[in-house]
Amino acid sequence: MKNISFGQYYPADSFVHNLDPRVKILLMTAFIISIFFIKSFFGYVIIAAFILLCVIFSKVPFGSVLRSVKGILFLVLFTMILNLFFVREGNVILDWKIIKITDYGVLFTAKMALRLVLLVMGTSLLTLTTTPMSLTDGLESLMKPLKLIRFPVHDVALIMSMALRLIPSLMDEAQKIMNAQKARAASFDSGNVFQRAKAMLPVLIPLFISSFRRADELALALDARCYNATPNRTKMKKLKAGWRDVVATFVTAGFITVIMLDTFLWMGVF
Amino acid sequence: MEVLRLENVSFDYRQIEGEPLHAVKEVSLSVRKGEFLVLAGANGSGKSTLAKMMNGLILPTRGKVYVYGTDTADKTKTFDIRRRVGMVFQNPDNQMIATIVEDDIAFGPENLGVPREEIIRRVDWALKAVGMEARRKDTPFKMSGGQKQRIAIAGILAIRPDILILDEATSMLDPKGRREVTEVITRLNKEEGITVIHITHHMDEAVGADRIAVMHEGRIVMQGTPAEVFASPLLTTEYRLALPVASEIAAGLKKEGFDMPEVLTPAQLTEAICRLL
Amino acid sequence: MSIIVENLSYTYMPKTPYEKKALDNLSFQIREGEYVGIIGATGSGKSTLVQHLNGLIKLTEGRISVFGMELDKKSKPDYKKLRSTVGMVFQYPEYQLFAETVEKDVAFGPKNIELSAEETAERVREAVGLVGLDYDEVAGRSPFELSGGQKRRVAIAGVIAMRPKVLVLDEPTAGLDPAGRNDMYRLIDKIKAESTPTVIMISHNMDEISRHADRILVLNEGRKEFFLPPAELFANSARLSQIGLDIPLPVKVAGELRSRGYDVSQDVITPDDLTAEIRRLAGR
Repeated sequence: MKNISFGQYYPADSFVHNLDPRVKILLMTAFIISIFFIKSFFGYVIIAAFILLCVIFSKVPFGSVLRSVKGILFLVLFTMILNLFFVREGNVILDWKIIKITDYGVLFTAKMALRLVLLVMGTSLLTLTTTPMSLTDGLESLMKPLKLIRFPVHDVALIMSMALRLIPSLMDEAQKIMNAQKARAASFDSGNVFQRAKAMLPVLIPLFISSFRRADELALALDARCYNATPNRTKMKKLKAGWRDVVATFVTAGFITVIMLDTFLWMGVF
Repeated sequence: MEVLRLENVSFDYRQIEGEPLHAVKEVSLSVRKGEFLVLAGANGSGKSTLAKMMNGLILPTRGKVYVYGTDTADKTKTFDIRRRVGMVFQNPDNQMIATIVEDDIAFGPENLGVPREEIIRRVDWALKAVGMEARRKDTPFKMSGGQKQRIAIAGILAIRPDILILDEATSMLDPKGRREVTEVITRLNKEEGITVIHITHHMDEAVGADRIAVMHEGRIVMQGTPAEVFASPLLTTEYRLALPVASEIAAGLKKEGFDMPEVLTPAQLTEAICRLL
Repeated sequence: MSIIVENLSYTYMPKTPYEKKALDNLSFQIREGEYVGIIGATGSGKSTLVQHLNGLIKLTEGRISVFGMELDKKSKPDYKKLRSTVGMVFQYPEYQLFAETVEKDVAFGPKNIELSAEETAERVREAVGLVGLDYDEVAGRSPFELSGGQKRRVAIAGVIAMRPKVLVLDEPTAGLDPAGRNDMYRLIDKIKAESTPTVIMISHNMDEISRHADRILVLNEGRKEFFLPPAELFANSARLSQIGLDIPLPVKVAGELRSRGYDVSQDVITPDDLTAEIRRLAGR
């Protein structure tokens, strides 16, 4: 449980931390889209180098970023296996009973896994270096045009940031309840899938109850802090793009250009 | 000047089965400007329900609550009342909106549309008022309970309330945390002139209060200065509360036939004992 | 000796930026039938220590012996036996209740240690009675309908029902009002007398723990600062204050009187002790 760090803010004073959240969100979106354009391994090397650069300039320990990948390891393995066995194009390199693996399948699978891992590393880098509050501010600012069609921009942004902010508390709570049940000789790691799922009930039920209690208290706290008092909310922290944001934009644009060149012009020659 | 008035206030909780639960029964109470009032009572005495009616978080089933003369049932004045009556709750973890101290404190004034420069001034002031200036950029998760609760108080102070209500805000804290919070609210009351209503079952936190009101089974059964309230034998028996230790010892000596004055603090106790020997 | 702890150390998240030494070369022994208090500031290692006793935290350095069961870093202990030997009640234990009836919730532990249905039923009945609840009245009810104090009792019954040899409680009085706190201390005394003679209690409240414990283990930054009976412990008042711990008020007043030249005994800990001492000095 302790190892799941996805979504948890890592406090530090770094180049990446100090970027305007709007810029970070936009660059991240561009980055995610560009991942889907990659055709060659050279493209993956470029994007991996980009991530590495981001991690270095964020002062977040590399382990923390990798740990977020651990959470989706199962998903990665699952898609890998599926692709490995079901892709039939290309030259067969292994043929044993019903299993048929092709060279194209291996390549395709590796790329798929790389794509997923890079995707998660990139997005978790965003949440690791941006507090839920400034993420909310950024999203809210970016979604401002939606206010014209009466979309409750601020509420949606707040709900998202509260969800992010509650993840660590709920993790902590789950760990506590699990320990309490273990102290009553419960075991969570024996038996088949169904037995294990059933064994989780004594953890899940108290966890649900406590989430409701928390939600109730948070609602009261929001009221006490005059939430929704006026449609003209103000902000203490003004979002201001600075030199860092210009630099970051150019660097990201540079990497994306290389990827696009690689995909469309050089056609994956490298 | 009267800042808060409760007139024959009752509150019933609806239950899924059976009769509604009468949590608060016909309570009348008046609070003066600048007063430090402790609302004491055992768990389940209705004190927390009463508190939530004081700023309109819940409306009385019967009776009226007036904040600076405004009826809390007046829907057009809801936010006016919430701004004037700030409330800090029991569990500090469930009051934090943001993950960074200063962002959390700014949340209230932001909701009120306070101009940016003024918000920054308020955050500075509120952090100083609770003695947490040094933790401005930190995240509250790793802090002690007392520190978290001081941040929560700062978050409420930033909306500039006239009345500060602590709804069992010390009940989850250790003795050190309770002392920190009690010191902070006492200072706010004395130096900033904020009216404080402190809801607690720890009578040692009530020693410095102007007035203690004791709740029992939904009613206010006793009111008076700390010395008056502590002198009542009903407090520890019928109302399931405890005396502060110094007063407890003095009461014990009095029972033994010693001539004891009213004692609230350890220093007073030591003096009184010296006079005996 | 019922519990022996030798050279126990523990580091959280070693070799990361979060690395923190929680326990530092801790050694002590607890006798059967003792009532031990553990006190220390937030982060002093209290919880880490007790979670070693029932294997919730795996031992990495040192040695522990619990009623003859040896824990070391090499072997894997019999967790079921260990956890039924060391009954552990966490803070706010009512938040771990989950079953649809009190009976089923209390039976969770006995079932996990694979007791027979008859044995389980008998133990549930016994445990519910021991914590001061009427079995026939509450057994079939949902634990969530009960009052806060009753819920906590049910949770404690769920641990007692495994008939542990030592009961570990983490702040069992947290959040309770004065009368509730007194009831809880009385309940612990009853459990100690009738079912589990060895009790270890974590507390933040020096006043209360010194009224109940035979010996108090004081932890400071993961190290053992003192492990003494209350009367001897408060001879070190200066050091206790230095590490941020409270001195019970009667002890403070007794010390003040002593410094003014009155012959007050060193054994004063509770309000009753102080009253008796003053009666003696006044010649009554």
